[in-house]
Amino acid sequence: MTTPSGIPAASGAADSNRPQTVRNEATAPTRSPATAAGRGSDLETSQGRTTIAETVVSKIAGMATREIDGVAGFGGGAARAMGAVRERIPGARASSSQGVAVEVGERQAAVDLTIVVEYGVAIVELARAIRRNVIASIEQMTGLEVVEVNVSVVDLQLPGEDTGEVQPRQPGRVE
Amino acid sequence: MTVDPAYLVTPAAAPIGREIDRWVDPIVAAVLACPLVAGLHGGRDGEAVTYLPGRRITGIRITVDEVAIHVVARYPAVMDQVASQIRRAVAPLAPGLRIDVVIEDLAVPE
Repeated sequence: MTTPSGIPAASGAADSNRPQTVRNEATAPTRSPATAAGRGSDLETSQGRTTIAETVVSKIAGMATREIDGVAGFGGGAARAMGAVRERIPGARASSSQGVAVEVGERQAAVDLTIVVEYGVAIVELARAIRRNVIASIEQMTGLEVVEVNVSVVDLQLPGEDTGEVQPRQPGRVE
Repeated sequence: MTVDPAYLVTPAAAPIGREIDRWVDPIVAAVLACPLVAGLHGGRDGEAVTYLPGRRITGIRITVDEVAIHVVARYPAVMDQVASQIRRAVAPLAPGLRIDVVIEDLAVPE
């Protein structure tokens, strides 16, 4: 199992979020137009606001999925996962990277996972375990309520295939 | 042509003069000393920057009434604890300012 590098994933998510944020700020005039408002999840306290970016929720979901034995990796490009994101939480912002798409609202989050599993696992059981772990991790670490976790299995990793990551490996063109 | 005095009023986002030079370094040190913080983050749009003479500091932005701190948290950390840890560390260094914490990213183990 290889680990997708975090930096391109994070920047990709940031780019795909931009129009989303603009639209949400336009449609949610009740929110304060302060510096960090209009993104992530907010936790207002007397001493200030705490904002959790969607990238954070997305990485927690990714880690929680990986932790489950039987998951070979993530599949599907960002664009594909992005297409699966629907408007489930009003005013939510969506983020997607490496097979993990999240939608984060004020108090709730929804997750779409596109995964590759190892050959021989009971997929329904595996999906149930993933769902349990993702929900527990996100709720414990961010305090957001997870409304749904959709698991989409796009491939099987057969014995002998060394990587389950469905992503073209391109050599760097510049040094 | 006369200048509207409203334009001369310091905008809310303006740094508080030379004060900032003295405030920002101890805040950076305090934030980086938090065990749950992996590092500072420039913000998704690069907005979390403090410009100083000859250098810039990424991840902290001080305005007249608040200090915004953009961080990368360490996995697995409870976000609420990350924020309260930062607030506890920074509060004595930024008296009178609201402390906004933005968790921009997670540093995950390889």
